[in-house]
Amino acid sequence: MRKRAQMQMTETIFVVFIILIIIMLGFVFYSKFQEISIKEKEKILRNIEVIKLAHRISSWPELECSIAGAERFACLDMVKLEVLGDFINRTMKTNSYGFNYYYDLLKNSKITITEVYPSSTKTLGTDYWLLYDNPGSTPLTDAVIIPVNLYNPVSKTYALGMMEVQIFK
Amino acid sequence: MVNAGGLMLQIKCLDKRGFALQFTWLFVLIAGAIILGFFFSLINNLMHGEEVQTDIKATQELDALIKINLASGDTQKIVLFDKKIIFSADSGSTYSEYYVENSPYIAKYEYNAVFSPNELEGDEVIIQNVMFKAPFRTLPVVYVSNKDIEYVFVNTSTIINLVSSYLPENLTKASVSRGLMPDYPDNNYDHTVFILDDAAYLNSLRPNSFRNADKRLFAVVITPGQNTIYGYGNLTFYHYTSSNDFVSDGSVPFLDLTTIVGGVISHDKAIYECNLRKVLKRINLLTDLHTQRMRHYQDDISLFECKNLYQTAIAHLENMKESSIDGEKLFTEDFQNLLISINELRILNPYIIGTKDCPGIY
Repeated sequence: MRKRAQMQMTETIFVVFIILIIIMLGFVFYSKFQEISIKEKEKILRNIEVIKLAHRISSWPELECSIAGAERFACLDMVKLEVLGDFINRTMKTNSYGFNYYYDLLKNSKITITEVYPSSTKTLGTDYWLLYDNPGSTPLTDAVIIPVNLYNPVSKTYALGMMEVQIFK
Repeated sequence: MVNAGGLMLQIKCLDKRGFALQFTWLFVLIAGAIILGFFFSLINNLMHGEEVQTDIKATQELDALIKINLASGDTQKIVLFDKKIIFSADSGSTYSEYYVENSPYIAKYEYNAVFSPNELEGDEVIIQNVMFKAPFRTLPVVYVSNKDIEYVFVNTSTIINLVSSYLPENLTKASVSRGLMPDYPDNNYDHTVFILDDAAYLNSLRPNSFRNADKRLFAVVITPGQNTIYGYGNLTFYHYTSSNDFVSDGSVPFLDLTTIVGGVISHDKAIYECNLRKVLKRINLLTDLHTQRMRHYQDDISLFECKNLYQTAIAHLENMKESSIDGEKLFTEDFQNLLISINELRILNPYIIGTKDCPGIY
């Protein structure tokens, strides 16, 4: 009788032990799943921030289209693009106030603008502009592409362009 | 005998039990006190940690409101904020920071022009942003204040009336004539700032009724430059001292109503000068970019009709660039030159766009 009782007790202990292991395994799987889900949401939020940044950029006084003194929304002036891109590139090496100003706004990121219509030869300075090229080691977001209006103030014509923005660590 | 022995044993056992009981109670008391003490200490630490977290979060929320982006339009926000905010700035550079009292998190803003008093305490904060134009859109200037600061405009001259009307709505404003200024009452605001156009009337104030006058009374005297009302000039900052006198903290130039209002709202020379330098640096940066663009247009054969106009624009932009160099001291003459070039560009740009049908300067 005593032996039977001892065996039953051992059996119970094993059962409880196995149940605990199953619960722990379940918990581990759930945590992993949650982590993946949170990382996905984080990525989506970061991409939204990138889109907001792209919209803000198009309203900068140094890039916005100004036609007859009125500012246009989501429109970039091609000549201003070229001038600002050159300026940032030039001052990047000198660590001047000018570059530090844009670094404070753009941090480690890469911003390019490409004309897609009517011209799409991807010629630097003509229909392709490297506005800001200061990438870090690891990309934090996907390369987000936003359509923009490109205005040529000399010929007074518009073109369709794509602004590609990617943020790095 | 056996009975006596048994009784002795019983008594001994009872003693042992009694002793054990006492010891148990003692043990329970001491251990209980230690455990209770541990939990109280844990709760205290958690509460303190939560308070610090709240302060940090409050600073971050304020950060998002104050650091306005370049695309912002003119807006005003009234934010419920019951914590004390302390602002500080280095008048010789563009370094400035603020933090919420007791919070370890300090927010630095080297590129945003934020005009504020050196401390703000109240139930709400009023944040207004205005785009500074010179004459092209330069940067949004942010005014931060609250209703616990009283701005008293002395006299009704043109400049005083202009500044009073340009001051953000919802701030506490008052007007007083020069004659009634000496007996101006203490309305119990955190700060009372007198705005005058003549320093001679400053010491006519008899602030006997003001409690802690040396911590609460300030003045800003606006001295416009030649041939202008608000284009350029000097702001002189004063604070009241315990020796019953207004003492000057120094003068700093201003450019346009936007910066005058900034000076009035901050009524602090260091904060005003630091943020003014940020405006100047931004003007310097933008004139450089606009100059490069004008050279590009000059080289374009299709715009030969406007070549001379672009040359004139470049001259004005270069003048602006020279006048906006951030030196050790800011000179009123530089601000005068800036104003001249700004006014010239303001006339030239619509002429280039409208009459000549060429791309504009800005």
